[in-house]
Amino acid sequence: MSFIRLIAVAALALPGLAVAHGPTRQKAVEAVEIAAPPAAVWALIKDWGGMAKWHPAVGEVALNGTTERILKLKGGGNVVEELEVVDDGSMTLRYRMKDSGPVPVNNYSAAISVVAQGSGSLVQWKGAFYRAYLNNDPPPEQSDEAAVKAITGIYKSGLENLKKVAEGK
Amino acid sequence: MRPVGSVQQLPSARWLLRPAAVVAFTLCICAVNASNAVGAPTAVAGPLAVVSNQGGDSVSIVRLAPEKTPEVREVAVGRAPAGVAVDARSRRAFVSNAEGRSVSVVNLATGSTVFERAVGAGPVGIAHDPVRQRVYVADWYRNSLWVLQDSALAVVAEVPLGKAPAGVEVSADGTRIYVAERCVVVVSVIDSASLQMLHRNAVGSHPFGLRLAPDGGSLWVTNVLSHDVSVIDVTGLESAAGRAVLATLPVGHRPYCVAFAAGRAFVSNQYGDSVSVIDVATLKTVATLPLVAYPEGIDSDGKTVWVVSWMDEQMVGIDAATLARTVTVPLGRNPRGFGRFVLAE
Repeated sequence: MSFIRLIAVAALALPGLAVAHGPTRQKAVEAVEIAAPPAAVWALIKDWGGMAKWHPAVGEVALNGTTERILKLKGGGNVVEELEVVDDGSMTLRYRMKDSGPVPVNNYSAAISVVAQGSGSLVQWKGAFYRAYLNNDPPPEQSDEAAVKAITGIYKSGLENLKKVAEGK
Repeated sequence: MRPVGSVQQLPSARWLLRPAAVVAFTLCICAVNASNAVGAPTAVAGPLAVVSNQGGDSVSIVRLAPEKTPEVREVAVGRAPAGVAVDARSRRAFVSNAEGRSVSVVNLATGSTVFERAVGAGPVGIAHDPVRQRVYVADWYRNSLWVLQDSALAVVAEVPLGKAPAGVEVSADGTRIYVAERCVVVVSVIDSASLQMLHRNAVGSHPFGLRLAPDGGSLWVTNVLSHDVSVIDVTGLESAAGRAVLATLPVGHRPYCVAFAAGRAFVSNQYGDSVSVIDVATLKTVATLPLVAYPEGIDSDGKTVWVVSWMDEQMVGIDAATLARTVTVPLGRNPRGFGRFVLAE
């Protein structure tokens, strides 16, 4: 789990979070094809408190009200996320991080969507975020590259396991 | 860091598109030249859009033709370009390179970068004033506004501002400069002759983009974190007794910038994946168009409103009258197009 290792490294380097950010937003986009009906895959994703069922880096999810969740990471640390949109029509879930914890990003928002593809599903995970370091000349572990690498790792490992869970393997 | 004033020559246009598209664009230029008996015009006729591709260190120059597939070419600029300002007279575009800490000048006739000059620490918002022949650049990290002469980008002055200045706009007569100071939560008015700040007016949370309405009477400011737009009376802004904020209009999630066409204001809502359409006269929202993922840069050629999708890396045309979607143009990586990026003919 390179993602967990990354998070552990980042946790040491990250003093805290601030609201402001620099001018260069980054993105991560990953997708996976799943041999399961879209409705079944969507049911897994829209379960806001159920991320631990499919994401291998998430140990436990605590709900705070209906829209806030706290992801307790297996590698240590918590991420707090706010649900923004759940749209059954487009099978899209939109959320943002309120506290990115050990993940080296700022101002993170993302959408996960499911579309029918052949007899199965295509799941797309798209995120937008800024690096952890808020000024010019970031240290390597708080750079744009570090942010993209961390989020890409989260998406890849999550989608890979989502596929296994949804396909019942 | 390179000193302010150094000029770096760059290689000419980098063609990244299919050969067919390149040939088509080249043919258009030839046709324009050939049709002029006097010869020697180098400018490409017709409206253009120049969109900064922040993740591609480039701009996409798009020949706008709503009825058919537009021609696009991608030209290298500095690192992580954000802001764009086009100049109709010289047919040049000025591009702020946020990470390159520089401004690039792009010749739109030849589709090549003319030069890149070091400017400050974090250039973002950029505006061109054809009257005083200046380029104004907001510096996010130095908390200032650079005043540059537009031919060679020589520094005229650096005006100190509050934290995180973002969008810049100039009045049509060139006498006033407006800046959204994001972390001070105000819009500032600067006298372009004296370069003194005349007034500051409180707006919503995290003002970012701003644009004057076509009649020059109102200034529209997007407030990113309060998800609304402040409509400011330009005269009231300078009158001590005046009530400057005419209205605060709720829009979609995290608005980015504003464009005008057909008596309407169009607001790109980054996190709402939508464009809010507001009647300028009544200040009523007439539609919210679900359009593209992370719409950011927005500008108009008078008939069509052009919206940049940062996530999907494309530009979408909207007919300003019917609000129908017209064409989709592919762009480079992580496009932003912050500023006046359309050169209407």
